[in-house]
Amino acid sequence: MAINDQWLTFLSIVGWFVFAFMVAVIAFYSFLLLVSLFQLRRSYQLDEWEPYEELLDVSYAKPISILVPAYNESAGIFGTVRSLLSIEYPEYEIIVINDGSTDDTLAKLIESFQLVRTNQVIRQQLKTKPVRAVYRSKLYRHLLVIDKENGGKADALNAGINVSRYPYFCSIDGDSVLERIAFLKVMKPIIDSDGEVIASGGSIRIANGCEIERGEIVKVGLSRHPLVVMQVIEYLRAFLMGRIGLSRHNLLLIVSGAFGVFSKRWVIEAGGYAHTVGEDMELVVRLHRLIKDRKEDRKIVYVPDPVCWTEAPESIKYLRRQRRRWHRGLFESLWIHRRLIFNPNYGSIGLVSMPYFLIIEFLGPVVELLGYIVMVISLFLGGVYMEFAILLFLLSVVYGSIFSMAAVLLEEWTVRKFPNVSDLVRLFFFSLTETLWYRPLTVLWRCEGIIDVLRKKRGWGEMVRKGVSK
Amino acid sequence: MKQTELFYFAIGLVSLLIILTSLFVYLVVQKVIENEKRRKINEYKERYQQTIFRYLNEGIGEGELSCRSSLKQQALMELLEHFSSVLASKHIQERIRQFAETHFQKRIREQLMHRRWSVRMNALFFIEDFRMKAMINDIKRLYHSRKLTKSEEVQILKIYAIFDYRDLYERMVAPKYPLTEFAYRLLFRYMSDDMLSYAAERFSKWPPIMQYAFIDIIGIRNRSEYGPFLERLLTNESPEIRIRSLKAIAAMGYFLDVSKLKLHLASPHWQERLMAIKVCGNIRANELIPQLVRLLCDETFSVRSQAAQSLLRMEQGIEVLKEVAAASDDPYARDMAQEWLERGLETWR
Repeated sequence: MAINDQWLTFLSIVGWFVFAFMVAVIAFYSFLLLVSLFQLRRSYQLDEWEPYEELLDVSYAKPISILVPAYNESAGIFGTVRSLLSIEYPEYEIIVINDGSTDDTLAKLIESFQLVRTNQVIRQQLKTKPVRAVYRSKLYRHLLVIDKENGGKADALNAGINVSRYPYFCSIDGDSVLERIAFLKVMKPIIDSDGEVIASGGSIRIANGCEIERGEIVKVGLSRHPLVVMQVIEYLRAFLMGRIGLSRHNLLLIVSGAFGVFSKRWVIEAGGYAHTVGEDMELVVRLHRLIKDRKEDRKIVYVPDPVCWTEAPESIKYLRRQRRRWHRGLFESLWIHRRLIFNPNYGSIGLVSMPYFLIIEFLGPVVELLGYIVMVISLFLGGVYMEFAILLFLLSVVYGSIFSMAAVLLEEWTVRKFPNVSDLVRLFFFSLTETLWYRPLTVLWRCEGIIDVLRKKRGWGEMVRKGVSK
Repeated sequence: MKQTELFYFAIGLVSLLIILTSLFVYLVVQKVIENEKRRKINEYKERYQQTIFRYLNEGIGEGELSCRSSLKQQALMELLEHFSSVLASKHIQERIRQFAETHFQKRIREQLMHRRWSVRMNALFFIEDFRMKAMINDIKRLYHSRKLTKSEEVQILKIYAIFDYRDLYERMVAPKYPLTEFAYRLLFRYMSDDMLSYAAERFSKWPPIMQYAFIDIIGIRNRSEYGPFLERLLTNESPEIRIRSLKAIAAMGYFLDVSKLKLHLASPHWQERLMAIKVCGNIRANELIPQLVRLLCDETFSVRSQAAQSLLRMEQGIEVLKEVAAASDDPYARDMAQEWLERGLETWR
């Protein structure tokens, strides 16, 4: 009986802890939501084209180097480069980096674009694996291909930066579809601010279910696939709710690897991309660090308009793999820059952003998992515990759905939106089911990611625990 | 105790449910209304496309187009925007302006005073596109209102520049929000010739970024009448001014005295050397070759690269580069010469 009592006390302590955590998280998200609501309402129905028209004039445009790292992308590379050749931007070059592919990626490029070998001198500003050759297209003067030994995505991007000629560069994932004026949109804050903004990223949206013609989204649609619908909701929430709020206060730690523009000078001075799983986030954290170390007034911003459409995994298997990888990447960035966490010298990045990513993003899944366990146990205990568990559960269903619907509302205030009422209805009902299946699954996968972290790097396992418990 | 907690939980739950339901209902209703509106606007557009086209071409049938319905106006505005971008002829643009001034003034005036920033911005875009000079006083009112944001200020000044409105210069030197270099460029780009020369006389009084923007635009717009002006700036004590002036001179292909140029080729600032080398590429005087060859060994990569590029454009440049590629002691210079010899050949093939 005594043991049973202790158990119950323990259980209710855990329960209350989870509840308090939830309240804190909800409060933080509500704050971000308010900022986003205010911001997006302000620009609701702004003309789609007029604000960017001016930037097409060469008098103001800053040229960009577009970097496309490719590893065994024989199937898609032609289409990707093709669509990049027709983007709307006054001055740019495309640099494809063949990262030691073992298939015929390079041969295909050489043939399709009539590449010829050049003896271009490479400025080794960032250390990379050896470059075997640089090719230039005879058809398109602004298309370059670098052939190098395999060194991973970060290494490929660094090699691309070394070869690039222009002051800004953009990294692009091979499998994404860009809006034609994507570059104008993300460059606008940089140009407008005379370079005070050193990096800028756009919204990533899910392309599954949309109609795509010749590398362009012609009609936005919602996929029939439940797993994809859930990801759509997730992306809307993450981008429109999270990033606007964070960007507004220069707290942004992620410029998605799928599409972002960076100032080359700053990236080189920060040391380029590092060889980690989440190289995109790690670089942004490093840039923030550099800004604070130098006490300069520079910003990293987010552009709410969707600029890049990417294909989401439709099977549990790949989604699980993706989420585990993301979580490992998140950990690496936090671990490498652990000195920043709660460090007042780094201002809001040290006191808000880093703790947010550590506690809510990284450790959140653990707490949530705990919550699920407590709930399940309480169900068996019966009585008042069961009622509590059910209420807690319903509460989390409803608040999750409110945030999801709020994100849909935010989306209604941006340029690209779902055209049909039926899409909204479907989004609504799917969001109601999120807590029943999708949420627990992602929580589980992210916890698996944490386990990966602990297992993979046994060598510094001890340090890992220290970093996490901080 | 537990019972009261449960009670509060339940209350929280119910109120959240209410929020959720109303949010959902709002979204759906809004979507239905918007879709319906869009459908009607598109219908109007289809119905009046011919009429408006005839009116713009021949000036007949205006009566049919007058309207009080807001959706129809929206449709007409969209049609007009479309035609204004595809029909460039002067008399059509003039007719578009007249039509917009007679029919949309009231609507746009209301939009200019709207609470929401985006509505005001859209109104300004319309005024710019349709060249609605009649609305200058409304714009001025917005300019002086407390609502004015930075992007509106820039847009208004741009409209002033396009309309060649006399207040522009004064507003540029004493803006409400600090203007960026980009904004200055934008304004100089649209400024009339008269105002540009009026402004140039007061150059020395400006903040640096305004000066930079002015110099850049002269270069980009190829205003060779300002060549002597730029030449005078080459003795300015600010390196940035000298660098920008050299850049503009290079862009315009303006002829610079060799002796003057040599001074800049020996500058301690690499950007200044770089831009001076660019100017050499236009002048092609053989007496510059020795100095350019020396610059092939410069410590800065872009300077070496530009030196090779400029040599390539000289009469005897190719021979000189070949010599460097074959016999120079400096491996950097050799590589650079080699690269540009190849690239140069590519260009001509």
